[in-house]
Amino acid sequence: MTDRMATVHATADVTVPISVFVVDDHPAFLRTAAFVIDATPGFALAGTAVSGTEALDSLTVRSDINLVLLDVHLPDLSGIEVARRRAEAGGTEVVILMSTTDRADLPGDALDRGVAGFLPKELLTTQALRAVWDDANGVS
Amino acid sequence: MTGSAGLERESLADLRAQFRTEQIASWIAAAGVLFLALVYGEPWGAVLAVGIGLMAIVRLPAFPAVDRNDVVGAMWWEATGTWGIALIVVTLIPAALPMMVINLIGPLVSGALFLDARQLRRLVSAGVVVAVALGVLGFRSEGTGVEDAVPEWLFQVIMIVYLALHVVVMSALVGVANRVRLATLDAAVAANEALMRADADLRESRRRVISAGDQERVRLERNIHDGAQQRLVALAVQLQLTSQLARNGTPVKPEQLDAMHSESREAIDDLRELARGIYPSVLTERGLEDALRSVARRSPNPVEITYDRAVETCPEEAAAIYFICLEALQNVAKHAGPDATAQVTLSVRDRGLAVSIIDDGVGCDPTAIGRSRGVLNMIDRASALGGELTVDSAPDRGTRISMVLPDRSTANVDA
Repeated sequence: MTDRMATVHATADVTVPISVFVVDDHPAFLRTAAFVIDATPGFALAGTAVSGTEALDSLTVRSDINLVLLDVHLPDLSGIEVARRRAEAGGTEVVILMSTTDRADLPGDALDRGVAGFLPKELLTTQALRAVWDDANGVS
Repeated sequence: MTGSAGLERESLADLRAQFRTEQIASWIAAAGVLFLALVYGEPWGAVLAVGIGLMAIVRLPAFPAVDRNDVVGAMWWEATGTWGIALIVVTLIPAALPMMVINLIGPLVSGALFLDARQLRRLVSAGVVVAVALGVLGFRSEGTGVEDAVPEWLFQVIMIVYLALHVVVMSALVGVANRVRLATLDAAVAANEALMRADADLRESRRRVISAGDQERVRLERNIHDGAQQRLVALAVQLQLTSQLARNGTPVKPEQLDAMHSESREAIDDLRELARGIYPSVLTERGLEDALRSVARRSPNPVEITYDRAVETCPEEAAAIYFICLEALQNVAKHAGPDATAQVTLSVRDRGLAVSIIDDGVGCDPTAIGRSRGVLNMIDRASALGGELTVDSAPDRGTRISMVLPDRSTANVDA
């Protein structure tokens, strides 16, 4: 898996921007994430979803997504559940959970299955976006 | 009433009937003795008849006493009259002593059945004095020989009939006492059941109050999380981005600043709504009437408020009335239909408060009312202040919510 990601990373770094998919039921945050992604060199917004089911539907048919910013609190499925199902379905995109909730309030195993990292929503910046991507791909 | 436990109205009526029977028996006895005195020309017989009549009169105050529920007083008047008859009879006819023992014992049996221990001790003490007096009179008195005026067989028949009648009277008395006991027991059982029901209601209501508080916290957490917090997070991220862009010399797009401005405005609106939901500042600052008028102005349906200036409320009452009216008017907006109008009326009634919220909307199924969490919430708020709240509704008949809060000065005494 790490090898595969390294390949994606290497390819993306040179020519194609990294496609980011954002899942959140709050329009304010979707807009904001779009601003940040747009302002980060080498990253492009590839799509959004406002529920867990919609996210799963989109990610199943789209093979171009490299990075998913996934809200924990969604109206139907939790972000943790969405990540688990994507991992079971063999999804290769890097999943970063996001929330306004404290990390401590998330379940202990929230980051175990299919999740590469956790980023508090208010800390989303261009640097943070690049850092979580590099982190997940083993770049130091 | 002194000393004795209060009796139920039915038991008092039983006791009264018993006294009336004894009263009638005394007068028949007095009349019979007078008749014989006249027939046999015996003056002592007339004296005996008058004595029995006088003692029947002495027993008359027992009736008003029993009407006042003064069982102790009634017993003493009865005992005085009954013992008085025994003393007079034995003084005139010492041979009647054995028969008069039943007069001595009668009041003591009644006392044992109806009086408490302290009152009974006093009655028994008096009974001992009467017993000694009867004994002394019976054995030492020369008598008047009045019984010799009638044939011996007639005297014996009279005494036997007297004895037999008193067996009946005494049994009836025990019967009355028994019914009193059972009635008292039934009343105690019923009171206990009512108390247990009230206790269960109270516990259920307390559970609902706590649950409503928790649900309200959940609702507030959701509102804060989904509203102001999300907007502020978005704003923080956008500000950080803008600052970074500015530092790099990238021109900031005006629409980005506009977005941040509208984000901050919406966060302020969210917080204002939230604060009003927690506790409306207009209620603390300007009072109940202004707070209700403010709710009416925000309601999508026309609301007319009639506020009696004589209405005075403590903070707890003001809050309860405010939140009940708020809930009711929110229900009007949600369920009564767009054409519905509502009337809120506050007035003073029996020194307490009367509040009504009436709408002419589509109404609802009356059986659904009791299951509504909002309605239970309103009822709990009203009963916490010792008040009562009722909701009446029927399809196409609108909804009427009426609440009465008791006068505070007496409500505290009753509680």
